[in-house]
Amino acid sequence: MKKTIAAEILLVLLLVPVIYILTGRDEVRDIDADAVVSACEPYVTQDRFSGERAYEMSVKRNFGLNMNDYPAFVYYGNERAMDVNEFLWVDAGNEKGAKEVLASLEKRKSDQITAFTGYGPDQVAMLEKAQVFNCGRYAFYICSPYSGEWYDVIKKLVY
Amino acid sequence: MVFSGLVFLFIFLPSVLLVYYLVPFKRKNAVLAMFSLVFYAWGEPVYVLLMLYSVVLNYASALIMESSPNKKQVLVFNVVTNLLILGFFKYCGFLTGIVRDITGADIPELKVALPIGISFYTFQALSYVIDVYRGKVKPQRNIVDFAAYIAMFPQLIAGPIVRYSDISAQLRKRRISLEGFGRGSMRFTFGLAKKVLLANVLGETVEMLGTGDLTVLGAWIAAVCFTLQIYFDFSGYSDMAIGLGRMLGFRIGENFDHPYISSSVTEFWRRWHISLGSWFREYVYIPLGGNRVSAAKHIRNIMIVWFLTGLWHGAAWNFIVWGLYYGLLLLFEKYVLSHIKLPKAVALPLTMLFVIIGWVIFSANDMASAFSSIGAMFGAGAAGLTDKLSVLALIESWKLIIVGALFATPLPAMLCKKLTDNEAGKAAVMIYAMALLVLCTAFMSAQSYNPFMYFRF
Repeated sequence: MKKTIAAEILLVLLLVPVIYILTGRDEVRDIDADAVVSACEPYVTQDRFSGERAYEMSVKRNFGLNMNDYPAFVYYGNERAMDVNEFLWVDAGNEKGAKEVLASLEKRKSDQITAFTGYGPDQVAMLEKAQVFNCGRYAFYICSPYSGEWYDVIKKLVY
Repeated sequence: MVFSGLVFLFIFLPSVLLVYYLVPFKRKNAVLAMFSLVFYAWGEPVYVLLMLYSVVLNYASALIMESSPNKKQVLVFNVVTNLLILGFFKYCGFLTGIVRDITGADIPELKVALPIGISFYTFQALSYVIDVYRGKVKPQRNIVDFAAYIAMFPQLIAGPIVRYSDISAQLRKRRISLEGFGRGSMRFTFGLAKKVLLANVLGETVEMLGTGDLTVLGAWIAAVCFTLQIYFDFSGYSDMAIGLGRMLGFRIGENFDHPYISSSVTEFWRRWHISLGSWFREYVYIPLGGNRVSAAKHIRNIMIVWFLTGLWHGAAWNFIVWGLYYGLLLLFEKYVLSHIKLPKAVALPLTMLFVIIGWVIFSANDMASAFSSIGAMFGAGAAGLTDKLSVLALIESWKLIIVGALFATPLPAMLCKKLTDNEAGKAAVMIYAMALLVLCTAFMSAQSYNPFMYFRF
């Protein structure tokens, strides 16, 4: 009986480092802009984005965010006034910063919905399904007919 | 790594098969265990640690139990440890959320990633230890053979849940033949086709419709497409698992038996996810007394099993409600409808209606969204009868729905069986399978939408 208890205690003790390793680590991987661009490239070609990455001015204009305040970002916008397809990834440096960025992204989504309500039902439908979320220190805005697939790609990239 | 991926099909599987077939029999289990761990580690290497721990825990528990004077104590220890591990990784966030909601306490949200396949391999391990306790099987003394059983990549991620008693003899001795390989590869191909050509494409319609403001038509198309999608996804995966097992010389039990031709919910659950149903029956329902108890206890037993079945599928209220929904339907059939014999022409569509409603609950993000979708199906709160989106969805999916409905029946399998009565028919089926494989490869290269739905368990 003593041997049985000792063996059971040993098995429980063996579990402790396993649980620690699986839960004590940073969930979110370090990624950079190049990794995001590579991962998202198939969807950029499927979506009717302007094709090239847009820069700080576009993000400032559309989201009210100054990208010089953040370590990195990737933004795919659109050139046509009636398009709402957009992809924005921001490395905010830390989770708190990402949540602050998220507030701006949510505002962009609601402003767009307000802007297109009444005359752009397809755009409104796409905007309602837009994915706005953060993974650790990264914030994402994905408005696309393929936003589900973009989301899956991002999850695999980040976790 | 997923079966319906190019990496698995063209790199991993050929490598496994090449090494597996080249090594002598006594090394085959080691090869299988090693490649299975590589397969599991592909997505997230660190979770292999938990898999290895599970192997050590259950291997050791069975051996300790054999020599211990108090076998029950060892069994309790093992079951509690397995369930605590499963509970921690799968239900921690859900349970802390409930405590937070009820008490208002400021408990931090615990973000614990769910190791893929944990529900499946934990249940497999539990079946082993319980069967050792019952004396049904002898403990496995070779840890490599045991690791091959727990980690076996064909069914590791999404089942079928293979009981040790069904496979123990095959671990020691199994027939590996060209015929088995051929049959296994055909089965795998048909499963792959179900997943890539049917499930994934149906899923795109479901995604397109979303869960926002649905019209009546949109709600029904989404529900029907999801009903077909989940069947082809899961049964396709099971076919692939069974086919892979056959290629490796293992005979794995069937997991689906054309559930959508059922005339009752009771029959449906004898045909859907057979390995899970039989696991709960063997290890929960029967030990509780099954139906050999008073009516009140029988009702209790059914509701416990179905509560647990719902909970097994996910840490969210909609899964629990889905499980209890089926518990109530089964009780209704047992205690109210048992003396009424409905004609099949009524029973089948009625059963399908209940099943479709069940899937709407299952697939919803939350209960509010489930009720909203069900309401929309029957006109309550729907955004009209039809709209542009739902009509577009119908135009794009009606042919696939008909094809899906046809392939959900036993007719294609019966035709295939009849064709293979002669050599010419066998050749035709083989060519058909090869064409399907080429088509699937083309689709996989182009497809961006390729989720495995049962992976979240």
